Amino acid sequence: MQRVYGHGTKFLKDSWYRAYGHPDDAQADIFSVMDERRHAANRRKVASLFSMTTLVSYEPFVDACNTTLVSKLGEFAARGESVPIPAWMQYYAFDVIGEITVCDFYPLSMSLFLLTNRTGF
Amino acid sequence: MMRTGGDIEGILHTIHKNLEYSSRMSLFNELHAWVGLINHTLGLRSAFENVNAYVLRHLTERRNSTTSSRPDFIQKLFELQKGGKVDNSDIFNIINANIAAGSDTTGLTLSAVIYYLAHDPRIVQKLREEIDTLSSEGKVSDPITFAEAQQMSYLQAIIKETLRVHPAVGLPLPRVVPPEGAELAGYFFPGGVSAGSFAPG
Repeated sequence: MQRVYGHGTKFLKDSWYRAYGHPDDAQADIFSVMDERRHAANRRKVASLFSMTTLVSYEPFVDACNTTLVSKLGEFAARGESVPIPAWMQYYAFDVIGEITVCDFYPLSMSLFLLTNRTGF
Repeated sequence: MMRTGGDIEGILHTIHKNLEYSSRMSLFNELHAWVGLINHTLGLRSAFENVNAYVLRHLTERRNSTTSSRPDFIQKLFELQKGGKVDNSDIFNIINANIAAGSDTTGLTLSAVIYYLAHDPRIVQKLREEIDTLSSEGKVSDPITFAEAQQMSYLQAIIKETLRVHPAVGLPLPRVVPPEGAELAGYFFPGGVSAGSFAPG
């Protein structure tokens, strides 16, 4: 596995990956980019964001989402309703990623956006 | 999404539709660029329009905020940008990649864990016993921390076994065998052939 997928592999990505990226190859993201040097360059840029110490620093955000999830599951239980697990597991996973990536306090961010009404950054 | 109990701005819908498109288009991947060209020529909306809008909104907001110093991805990327290591389009792409790709596999795996737990009460019982034992020994807090969870061997076994029987990535992620050919898993593959690892198989 390491030989095929690991760092510095001689097995380059098949053109299969192209369908997962932007139609314009120049704008490929890190998953779909096929050129090994561009991939390595992209990886170097973000390596620090995914280091173990950084990931562990996101723990409070995960804890907050866990609290919300448990409370929501409790609401279902109190109503005696069954929980659509696949949907809720994805809402949970999205909320965690949202929290650690962009700060996803949805109602708050939406109202701020409407107040400032800026475009472009 | 948990707070509203549903998809926000159709983001999950977009992600799923795009995955459907990509998994089919990957079989004819030469056509993908043409689809992009036709889309662009006809002035059609991007397939990721709502995800892009969501990301842009958050980025704009944070740029305009003078007080926020939340230690999240955006903040760290802004710092990297000050050091000249990333530019605006890098930031957009990285945030976008997280949002578009960050929830599917985790959600699927968590659903699988709950499914297997629901189907075998013995596993749940054993997990509860592990938690209770560690709790009585004062080895776990409330909530259980990541470091503590790493030490819970039965919990780790549940997660790993679920990943084994129900891998979230059902795609072969193919690679091209280098020109000299290679022996993989006891079989010889000539150079130029596509080989991948099909996890569910």
